[in-house]
Amino acid sequence: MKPFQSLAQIREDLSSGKYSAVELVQNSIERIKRRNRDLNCFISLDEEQALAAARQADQAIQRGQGKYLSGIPIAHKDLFCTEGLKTTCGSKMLESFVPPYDATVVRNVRNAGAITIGKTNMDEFAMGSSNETSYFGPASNPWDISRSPGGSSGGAASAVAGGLVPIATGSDTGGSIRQPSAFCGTTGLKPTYGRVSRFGMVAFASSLDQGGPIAASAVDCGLLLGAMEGHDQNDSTSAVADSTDLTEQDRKLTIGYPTELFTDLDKDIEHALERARHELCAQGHQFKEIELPHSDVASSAYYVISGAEASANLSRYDGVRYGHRAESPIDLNDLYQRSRSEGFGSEVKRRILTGTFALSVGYFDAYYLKAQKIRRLIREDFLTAFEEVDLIFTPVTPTTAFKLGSLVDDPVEMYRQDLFTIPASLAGLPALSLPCGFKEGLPINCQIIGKHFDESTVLLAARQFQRSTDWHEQHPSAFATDLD
Amino acid sequence: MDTETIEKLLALSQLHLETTERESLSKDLDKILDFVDVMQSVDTDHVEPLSHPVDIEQPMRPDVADSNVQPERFQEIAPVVRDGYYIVPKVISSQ
Repeated sequence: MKPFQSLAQIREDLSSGKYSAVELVQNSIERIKRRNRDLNCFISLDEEQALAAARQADQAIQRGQGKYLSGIPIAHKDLFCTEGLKTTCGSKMLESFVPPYDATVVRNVRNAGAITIGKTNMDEFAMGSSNETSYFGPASNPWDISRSPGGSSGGAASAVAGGLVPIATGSDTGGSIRQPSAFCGTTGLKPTYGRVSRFGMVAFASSLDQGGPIAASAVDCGLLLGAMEGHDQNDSTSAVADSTDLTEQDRKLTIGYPTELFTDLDKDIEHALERARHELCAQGHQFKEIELPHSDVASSAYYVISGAEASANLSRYDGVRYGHRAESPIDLNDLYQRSRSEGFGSEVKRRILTGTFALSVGYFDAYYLKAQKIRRLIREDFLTAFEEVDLIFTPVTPTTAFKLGSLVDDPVEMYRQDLFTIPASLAGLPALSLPCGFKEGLPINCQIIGKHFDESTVLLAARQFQRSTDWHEQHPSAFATDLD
Repeated sequence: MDTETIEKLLALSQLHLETTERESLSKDLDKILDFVDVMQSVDTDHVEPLSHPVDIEQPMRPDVADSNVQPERFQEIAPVVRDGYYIVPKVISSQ
C-alpha cells in the first residue's frame, strides 16, 4: 500500500476491495509508529477506536452504504476536543485533559465516515510559527528533520507531508494552516471566518480562529472542507452560508497582484511565484495590479488583537474546573497563580501579558482600539480590491522552512514570519496555501485569497493550477516508499 | 517596561514569574511593544474599530430548554470535586 494516494484513489481502492479500511488504518498506524520518532508529529494515537471504526467502515462499504470519507484515516490537531481522547493543545496545562464531548468538526468528519487516528502536535495553545512552543517538543519537517514544519499546525502538515495520513485538520488564527503547509509542501486552506464551527476547538483568539483542512491537493482539501463546514447552533459565530461548490467549471478569473508584497522577497521564492503567475496566465486568468496599503501594519495590529483575545480566553484556566492544578495551594490567589504559572509556557505568558497590557487602563485606546481601527482599514483595502478582482495572489512565507532553534529566542523575528498570512486573517477571508516550487530541496508555496465565503473560486483556481503542475505531487524521498 | 508595570500586569493576569524569567520577559515585552508601535504611524481618525471581520446575521435557535447538561461528566475531569462542588482553598477567613 503506497503512501500519498489521493482521496479519490483511496475511495476507489476501498470500494473495489483492493484493500480494506482495516488494512488502510493499520498501515497508517504502522507508519506513524515508525516515523513519529523522527517527526514527533503525533501527540496521541487512538489505535483501538480507529480499528473498531475501520471494521464498521468495511461493513458499510461492503453493504454499499459507504459515505464519502468512509474508511479514510484523519488526524486532528490537538486542539479539537475528542470525547474520551486526550486533548492537550500542546500544553502542560491540558496534559491530562480528556474532553467529555466532541468538537463539532470532529463529529462532522466522523459523520462523513472518516476515522480519527490520533491527535497532532502543535505550538502551545496555537501560539507560535515553528511548533517549538509545544510542551511535547517540536515536530519536524519531513523534507529535512532538522527543520521546523512551521506552526502552529506543524504536526498536521508534517503528518500529511510524511504520508502518515492522507488528510488532517488544522486551525489558523494568523497563518497556522498556511505557513506549515508552505514549509511542508502540503495544500492547506483557512476558510472564511464563520465557515467552520469553533465549538469544541480550544480558543486562542475568538474573532480570528478558524479550523480548516490540510491535504496533499486542493481537491482533497475541498473534500475535507465539505465535511467540516456548516452552521452549528452551538457556535453563534458560525455562518449560515451555501456549502462550498467543489464542482465548479473552469472559468477565466481576474487575479489581483499586490505589488508591495513582492518587494524584498527571497529571490528563489520570487522566482517560484513568478513562474506560478505565468502558469495561471497560461490557463487564461488575467492578473491585475492592486494595492493593499495597510499590509505593513497588519502584523502589529494582529499581535495586539490576538493577544488581547487570548488574555481573556485563557483566563478560564484557573486550576479549578479542569486542567493543571498546583499542589497544596495556601489560598485562592496562590491556586490561580501557581496553576497558571506552572501550566503555561513562556510564549503563552508573553501573549497573555501583551494582551493584558493592551486592554489595561491607560493603554486601551492607544493599543487595542487602535489595532481594531487598523483592522477595519485592512478589511476595507481587501473589499476595495475585490471590486475589481476575483482572487488575490501573494507569497505565504518570507523564507522556506528554517532550522529548529534558529528563531526561538527572538519572539519578534518569529512574529514576522506571518506577515503575508495575517492580512487575510484580520479581514476574515478564505486563503489557500499551495505548492509552487522548491529551494534547495525545501518546498515553496503561494497563497490565493478569495472573497468572503467564496472558497469555491479559491479551490477552483487551485484545482486548475494543480492539474497542470506537479509541485503538490513531490514527496520527501525518505518517506516515499516504506511499508509498501 | 518598568518593574511596576510588569508587577501590575502579572497581578491582572494571575501569573507569577521567577526573577530570571521576569527579566527576560521584560526585555521581550519591550521588543514586542516596539514592534506593535508601528501602528501609531497610521492615521485612524474617523475610523470605527472593527471587532468582527464578517457581516453575518446572528441566527437564532428556538428558545427551548434542553436536558443535555450533564454536570457530573464535566466534574469527572475536575482536579478536586466533593458532593458535586468544585473545591477551592478557603476564601473567607474565620475572623
